[in-house]
Amino acid sequence: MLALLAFSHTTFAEPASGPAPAAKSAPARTAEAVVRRDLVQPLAAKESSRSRFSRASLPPQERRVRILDEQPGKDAEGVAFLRFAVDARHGFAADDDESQWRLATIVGCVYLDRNQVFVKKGDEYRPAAFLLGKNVKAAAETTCQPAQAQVAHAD
Amino acid sequence: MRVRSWLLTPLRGLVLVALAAGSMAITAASLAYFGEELAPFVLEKLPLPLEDVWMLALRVHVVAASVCLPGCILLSLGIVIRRPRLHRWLGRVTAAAVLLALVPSGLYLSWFAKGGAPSTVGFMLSGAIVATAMVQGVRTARARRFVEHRRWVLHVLAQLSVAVTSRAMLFAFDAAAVDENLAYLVSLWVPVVASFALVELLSPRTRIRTRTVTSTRRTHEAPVDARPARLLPYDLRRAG
Repeated sequence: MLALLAFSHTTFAEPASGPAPAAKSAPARTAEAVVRRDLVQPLAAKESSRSRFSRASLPPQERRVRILDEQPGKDAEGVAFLRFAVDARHGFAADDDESQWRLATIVGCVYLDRNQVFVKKGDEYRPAAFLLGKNVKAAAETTCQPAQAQVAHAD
Repeated sequence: MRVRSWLLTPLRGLVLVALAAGSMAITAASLAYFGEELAPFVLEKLPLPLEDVWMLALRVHVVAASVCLPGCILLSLGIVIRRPRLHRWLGRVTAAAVLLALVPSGLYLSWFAKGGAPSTVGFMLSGAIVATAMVQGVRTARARRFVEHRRWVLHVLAQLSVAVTSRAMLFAFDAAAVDENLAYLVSLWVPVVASFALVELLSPRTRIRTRTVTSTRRTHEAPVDARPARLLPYDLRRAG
């Protein structure tokens, strides 16, 4: 077991395109690019230098971004955002084996106008820098919440 | 018997070297808990009630662990066993670190372990074995019942080794893409139970007190059976 640990080499999480839908809207394509640039790539770079000898979850082999909305929704402040999910592939089997993927290991939303990415942690959303180790505070309660949902919640 | 001894002696050495290497790797990985940035293990746990208390417990735990496992490894080496005064003092430091820091902080951390209640129970069981075995180890050493002492402290070393073996298992399970929570539970429970069973299997079945010093006065002379330690082949050295 220890020999396996010592001599195994992992390929660190690189963003994967995954089985992308045939047609994506322009906002969805932009949102995916922002999530890759501001979250997935920095996370992979950080994990490449991380010790494996921790009880934390081991870094995946690769990640893929799924944008969950074709068109942006608006929060209570009227700012547009799109929701996303990041899937992670663990194990050394072929990457086309869908069973190797853990779905939605990270979820969050992107504000395209502000170029901001937020990730969900518990019941709160925090800036993506949180997953990169920055101790950032939770965003406002309206963040990533569609305005209608908040009205319903208030009722 | 001679053949088994030939096999067991290098095996014992390999186990100790692997544990020492694992201990160093864990300590190196734990340095991340003292930086300004949040370590991945911490990120996974947040949000937590009494976050500062949890963080303090984690830091106490990793500092204590960085002393306890190497301490137990050193204590099992013949070169230390042949030096009673060194063995005694190193034993005191290790026992104090285990009972006052490692186990209490570990018990607190276990409430928030990944995997829920089964995981919490697993960590608590391991902690209980360590605490009980360490107390008994100290008591039997003070009573100069060194055969029993060796059995109890072996339990301590075996449970501390779970830190290394469970991480190795986690790595293997991740390579096989096993479900994360299942992998975590199996990687905890199997080493805890197997380590306990292994020590019981390899220790003498009866409590041999033939070497107990008849005088009740404690002395600072060398332990009666302070010869090069054998971690594993107790059964080979059993009387008769």
